[in-house]
Amino acid sequence: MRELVLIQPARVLVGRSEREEESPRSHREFEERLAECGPLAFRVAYGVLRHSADAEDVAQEALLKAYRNFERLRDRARFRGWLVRIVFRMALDRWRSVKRREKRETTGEQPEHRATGPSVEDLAASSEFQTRLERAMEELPEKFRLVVLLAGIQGYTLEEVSGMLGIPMGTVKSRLFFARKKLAEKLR
Amino acid sequence: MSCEGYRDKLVEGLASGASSLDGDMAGHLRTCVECKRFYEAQVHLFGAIDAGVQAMVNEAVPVSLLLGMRARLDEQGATRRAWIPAWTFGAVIAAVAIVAVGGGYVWLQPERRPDSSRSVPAATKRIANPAPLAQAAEIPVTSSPNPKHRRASPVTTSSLGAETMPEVIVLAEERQAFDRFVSALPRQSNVAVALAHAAPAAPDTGVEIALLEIGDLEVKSLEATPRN
Repeated sequence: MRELVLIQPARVLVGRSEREEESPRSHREFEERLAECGPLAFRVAYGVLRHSADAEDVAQEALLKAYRNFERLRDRARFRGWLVRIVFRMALDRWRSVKRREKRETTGEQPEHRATGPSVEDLAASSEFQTRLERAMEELPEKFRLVVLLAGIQGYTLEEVSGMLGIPMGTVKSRLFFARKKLAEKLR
Repeated sequence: MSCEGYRDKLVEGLASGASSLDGDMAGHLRTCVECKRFYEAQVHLFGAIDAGVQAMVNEAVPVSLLLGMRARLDEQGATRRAWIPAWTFGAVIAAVAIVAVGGGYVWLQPERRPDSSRSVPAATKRIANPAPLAQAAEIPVTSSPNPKHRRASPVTTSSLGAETMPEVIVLAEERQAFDRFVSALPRQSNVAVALAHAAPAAPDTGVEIALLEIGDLEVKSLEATPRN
């Protein structure tokens, strides 16, 4: 003997509407974080792309993506680190697509030869040094590159970078050490 | 230690951000002009790297970033608010359609169709055979002294637009699972879309045959069967 019951699926969903009231609260909370995290997102994107319009576009896309998934983030204290990773990943994707497009457009041209000979002092004084530094940064492993970028942003200490990325302070220092040593090797 | 060894240590010290040299290193730099020159060049190089990285990431933030972002958030929020009721409605339609198609499928199978001549007492809500959902729909739902039944069928006790909402008949023990399914459907758009469309034919997939439970079986002699 089994019992059959008559139910109304719509009533189940009516009960759910209370949960939807959380959305405006999350919206407000996200907007409050925007003033602090917007510039951070832009700077991380700019550190990868070094193009203001592209960086702004990527930062906005990343913030929008973070907004859409904001309710799923259980630990709101980790928001900055979560956002930084989203921005960094999206900026790298954009950078790769830009590079692919540039490569297609310049197919057949002679590869650029690196200048040899100038001293470290000359390099540091020139804009060419910045170009070489950017190339050297691009060749760094992603996790080292992200730490260098975050440590370079004014107002963020290594402790904050550690908290932001959710990794120990020692790991931040060792990644920074490795990255700086690699950069010096490439630029020497 | 050779000059090469001192230089490696110098580079490591600068890479780690150490601000001062240890006594042994400082002593060597006082006596070795080449290493001192190398050290100064490296200090300059690391300084240039730090300055270059800072220039790379501390670009002025455009004012349009936050303004544009707020506009997009408002737009997103408005879209989201308008989108939820549409999905709610769609989920209900999908759920009702699934149950209707499933019930119709069972009804169309002659061997599973219940005997219409068999009558079911109207006073009770307990149904002997769980399979014929269509038959169950014909059973009048009335108030019952059985508390389990009253709990299981809120429709009969509530008059708030009961006749305007679509109704579905499910097994009592599967009611909660069905509730969860309907609740989760709006969040799983791919599932909702998949349910709203016919499944593609897949000839290679195996067919699972459900066990057939026969409650009453009467065996009659062939000799007694009348010829048509």
